[in-house]
Amino acid sequence: MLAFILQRLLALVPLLFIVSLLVFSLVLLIPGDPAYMLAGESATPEEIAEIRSDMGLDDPVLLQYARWTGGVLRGDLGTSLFSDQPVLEVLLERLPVTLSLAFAAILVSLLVSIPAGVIAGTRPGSLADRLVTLGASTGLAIPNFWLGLMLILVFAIWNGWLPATGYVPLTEHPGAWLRHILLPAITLGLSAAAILTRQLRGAMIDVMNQDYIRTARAKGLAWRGVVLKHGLKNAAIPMVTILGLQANYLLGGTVIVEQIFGMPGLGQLAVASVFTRDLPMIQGVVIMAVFVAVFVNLLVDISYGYFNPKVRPQ
Amino acid sequence: MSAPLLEVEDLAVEFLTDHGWVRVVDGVSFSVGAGETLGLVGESGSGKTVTSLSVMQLIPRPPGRIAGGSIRFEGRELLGLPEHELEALRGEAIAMVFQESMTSLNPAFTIGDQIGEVVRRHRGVSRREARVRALEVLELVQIPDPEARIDAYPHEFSGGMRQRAAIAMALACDPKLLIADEPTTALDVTVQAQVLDLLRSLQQRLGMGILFVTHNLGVVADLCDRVTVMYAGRIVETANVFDLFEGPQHPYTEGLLQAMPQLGERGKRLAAIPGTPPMPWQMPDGCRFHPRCPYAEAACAQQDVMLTELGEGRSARCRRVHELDLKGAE
Repeated sequence: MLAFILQRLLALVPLLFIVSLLVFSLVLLIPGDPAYMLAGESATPEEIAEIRSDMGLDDPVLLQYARWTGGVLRGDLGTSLFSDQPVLEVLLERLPVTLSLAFAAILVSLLVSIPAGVIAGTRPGSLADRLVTLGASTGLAIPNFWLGLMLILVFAIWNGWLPATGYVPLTEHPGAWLRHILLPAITLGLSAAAILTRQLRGAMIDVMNQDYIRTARAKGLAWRGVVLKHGLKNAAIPMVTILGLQANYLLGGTVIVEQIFGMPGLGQLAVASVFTRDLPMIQGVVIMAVFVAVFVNLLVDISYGYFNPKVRPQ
Repeated sequence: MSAPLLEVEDLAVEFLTDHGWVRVVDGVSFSVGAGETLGLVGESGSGKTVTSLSVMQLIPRPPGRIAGGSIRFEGRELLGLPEHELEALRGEAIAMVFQESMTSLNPAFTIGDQIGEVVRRHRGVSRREARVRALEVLELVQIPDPEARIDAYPHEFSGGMRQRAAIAMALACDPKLLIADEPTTALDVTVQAQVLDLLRSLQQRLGMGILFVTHNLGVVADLCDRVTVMYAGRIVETANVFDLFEGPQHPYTEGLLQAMPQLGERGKRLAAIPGTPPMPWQMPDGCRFHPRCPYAEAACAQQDVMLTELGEGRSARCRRVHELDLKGAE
């Protein structure tokens, strides 16, 4: 297993190289010159030229790339053009917000989709199945920005049960963290829940018709045990694949959800940095997102081996 | 012969199809004694698998249902028994081995886990004790190096080994009755012979009754004491194995025997029964076999034929049973 993980990590090297090229070329590709932004509107051409040479923007592109990559490898992502804070420091401050939102959203999607998918998939055609299928289609159709606003309206404004905006770190106050994360997590997790429910329902219908389910029944196991042990573990294989894809979409979705709920996470930072053309910060956010996505995919690959012994490395 | 372990009487099973409720098993009766092997023989679609699944009440519901009859195990009526009492019997007193060893074992769990599971379910023992029992039965079915193989997954086994493991799983709780539904059909001929040898020796050692479902009369001759032949959802003939092969009393049985390939008859065409079995929703009137029967008369198409008792446990469903002199196997 360790060799498998190491092998996967090695395979990341070329991927990360390509990512670094793309992220670096953001500097070259986006319109506008960071030096103009930094110098302000009334700057003279001489001042701008000075800032350009200070920032190394006059150097050959390859040298700039080498300098930037070297910094990244040493954990130096540069300094924010806007706040003068080290980029990495800002990122690490905001990462927990986004990660706890994403994980809570995944948790919501699993808590909804596993029972719903199992109930629907073991009784196809029943009333419960039809309700679940209808619910899943609805969940897919609702855009999350609208859902977020509705949840705020109902639970925060009309009833005042939960806060509408803000974030409290888990380590500071778990109860307050939960109250703040609940609505954003539901907002973000609902469409993933709908997709996973459909996937699990289909997989479950397929699995429950397999011969080994009949074997398990012939062994005298109760229906429940047959479904939850023999059915679910096999039906989970396609679901894990979808979950891996969904996790990446969820990271993208945090951009909108953090805006709606005023959460100081990476998504909000990304939006703010784009508006201020804070290039090092944008690069940092992209790199961080890539790392998280790569890590999630690694987890998915590892979990395949648990659910499906056939793909387990020998 | 000892007292019957399993008695099936007048069993009727129906399935809901596009043609409404269709009776696929109709008036089937047979019994299996302790230590006895009964072969249940018929073509695909004759209702033999449905019959065997009905004993365990494992036919899928919906679309299937047991529409009538009686299934008694050690004198106790199984039809209408609450689900938890059936579950207590399944895998414990009555165990089953299925045709496709590839698909009938769960790919996500180890062989040892799947065998141990049935032991833990019925014996209430710890994981460790269940593992010890799993090792015992793996040894019993002659899996080489069971210590190493117990933690393997089904896909790491060959077809024959998987079927041995499936048999081990069925035997783990010392069942009194083993229902084997074409357990050797999917295997190579040489492996088939090994598995049959294994079943025979296990039966001699453990003394269980076996209901052996197959379409292969060669296997029946090899393993069974008595044979029940099914055609189109009904029993057409029951006899002990020697009598059946020597002098079949139903034209369908004769057809099956003639269709068996014989050694040393190169170049001779294999006999085949003309036509195909009827679909359950368009059963012919009268004798269900008459459209394919070489001995059929006009009257065969008109009235339903009952089973005729022929003495010594023999019976056949043919109105010309006393006139015909049918050919047995050579």
